[in-house]
Amino acid sequence: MQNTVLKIDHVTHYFGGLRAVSDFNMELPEGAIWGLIGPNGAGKTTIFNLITGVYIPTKGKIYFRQERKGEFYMEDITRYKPHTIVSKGIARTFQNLRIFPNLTVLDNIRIAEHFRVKYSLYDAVMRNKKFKEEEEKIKEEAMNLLKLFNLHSRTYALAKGLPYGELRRLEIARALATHPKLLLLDEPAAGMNPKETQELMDMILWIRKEFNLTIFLIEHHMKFVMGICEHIKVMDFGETIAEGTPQEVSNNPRVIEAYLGRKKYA
Amino acid sequence: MKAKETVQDKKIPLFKKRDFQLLVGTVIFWAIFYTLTKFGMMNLYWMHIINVSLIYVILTTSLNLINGFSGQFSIGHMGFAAVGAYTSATLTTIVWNLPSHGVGPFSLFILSVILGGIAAAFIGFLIGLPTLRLRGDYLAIVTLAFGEIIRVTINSIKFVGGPRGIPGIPRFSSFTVIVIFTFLSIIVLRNIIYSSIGRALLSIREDEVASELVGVHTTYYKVLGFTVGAFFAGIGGALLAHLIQYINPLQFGFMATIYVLIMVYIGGVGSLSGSIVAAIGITFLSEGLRLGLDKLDQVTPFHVGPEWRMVIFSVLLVATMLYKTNGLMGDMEFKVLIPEEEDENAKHGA
Repeated sequence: MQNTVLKIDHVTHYFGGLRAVSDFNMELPEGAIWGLIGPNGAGKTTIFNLITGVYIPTKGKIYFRQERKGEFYMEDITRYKPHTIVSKGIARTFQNLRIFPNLTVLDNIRIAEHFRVKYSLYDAVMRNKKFKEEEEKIKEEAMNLLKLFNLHSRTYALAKGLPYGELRRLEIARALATHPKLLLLDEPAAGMNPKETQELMDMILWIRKEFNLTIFLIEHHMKFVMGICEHIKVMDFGETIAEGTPQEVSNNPRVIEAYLGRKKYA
Repeated sequence: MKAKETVQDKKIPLFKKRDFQLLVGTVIFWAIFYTLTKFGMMNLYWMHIINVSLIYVILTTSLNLINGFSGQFSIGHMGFAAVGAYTSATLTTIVWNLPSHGVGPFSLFILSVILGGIAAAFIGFLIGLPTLRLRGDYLAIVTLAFGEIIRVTINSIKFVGGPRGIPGIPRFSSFTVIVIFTFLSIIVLRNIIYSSIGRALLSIREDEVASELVGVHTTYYKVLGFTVGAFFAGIGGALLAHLIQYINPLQFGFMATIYVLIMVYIGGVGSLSGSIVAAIGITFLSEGLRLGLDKLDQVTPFHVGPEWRMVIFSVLLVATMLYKTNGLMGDMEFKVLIPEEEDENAKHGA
């Protein structure tokens, strides 16, 4: 039995009177790549927002695996603030890119490293040895990350000037700069052509190995999801309507109905 | 050729250091005006304007940290300056009743300025903590109200003179003192901006949600930036009190804040250099216009009062918004204000 990294336990979320997510359950095993699909408005991004603490679920709990002195335990992260959850090891990207546009590529990465920086306001004002060492450390780390994602030629460019494909890579690199254990990707292949999509699939598989990650992703691109995910959950109107391997899901009549509508026998 | 240059760079590291250049520049600036006044070659009136403009540099750069770098909108900056001014002036004039000469009183004056800064920072912290937890324009509303509250409160405290204000404050803010404080506050603000803390503030300005989701404790940093800004406003107010030797609540009203805001926005949102240029430039422009309009009044048959200065400022602000949307400097900095290690990463202007 594999270790569960993330456990979502009977989570329900309301926006006013609208039930956006109803009774969502999930136990995400370590090192897996799982997918979450469903038509528009099914509540997929809401699930991500619940995991990352942007919303607090109306009902239910979310647990995330933590390690203390070699012992693993599931920590209840339901009511944590987003920045605390990031520091616990969950990073995400956004459906419509949320890069810091007027900052350089390097700064975009360094901001994500920021909560690991160990100097205080005093050290920063004095610009002492501790400050310089820490700054050098995070700059080096950022540069390595940029090299891995083939963005190092853009280090000092403003992020708003980058082409779309590079922005996507930058956003993933920025998420990885927080040293996550779980990476949430919200429609990573949106707006990509088939060649770029294939490259992205290779990249995600490589990231998982290189950074030792568990990945949970939302995607509309069926070829992408079917090609990369080991397990897929399907949502429609906030409810989980199917789950299983790509094969099982793609043959499930309820999934076909949700996507294509009911077959008319007339 | 390139190798040769790097060797030369290493030979003279002392002159390469920007901090050193900045220090030398400041010392030269100080020395010129100090000797000029010493030998009576400098008009004392213009010397006073230089002092005031340097205090405005402190006020403008610190407001830029809040409004420009962390993207909040505070319009109560002079309220914090009032807290600083009243704290230090009360201590030096009313509580300690210091004579205006001597080493002992002078060190007490420095202490009172710092206490003024701390008092302003404390009030800033109290105001920032509840309002900066929220996103949106709440800070503007609360700081606007705060500016008025502080004015009305001071008005009603008999101990500090109420609406009469505090007269006869010893004149401790000499040119030298003001130059030192201005230099230090610029250095401190620069060091904060080019650090992890500064980057956290910038990320909040750029996209608060994304910033929170890459691990920035946004509330903490917003309050921190606001408190630091309020601290320097307090320092500026305390220096101002000991320069003009008389303070009353009206000096720190809403229009005074608007004056500093104009400097921030004309100078450039997110540029320390812009704030410095605009603070000095606008203070001098304001005084120059006063004299110019007086002359014009004598020459022309109809009356031209000093109130026309405000019209000219409005035109200037509108022109800035139309033709130089990001202010004079945009978010560029003078090279000397950028730490070497951030050189490639920062945008330089002149």
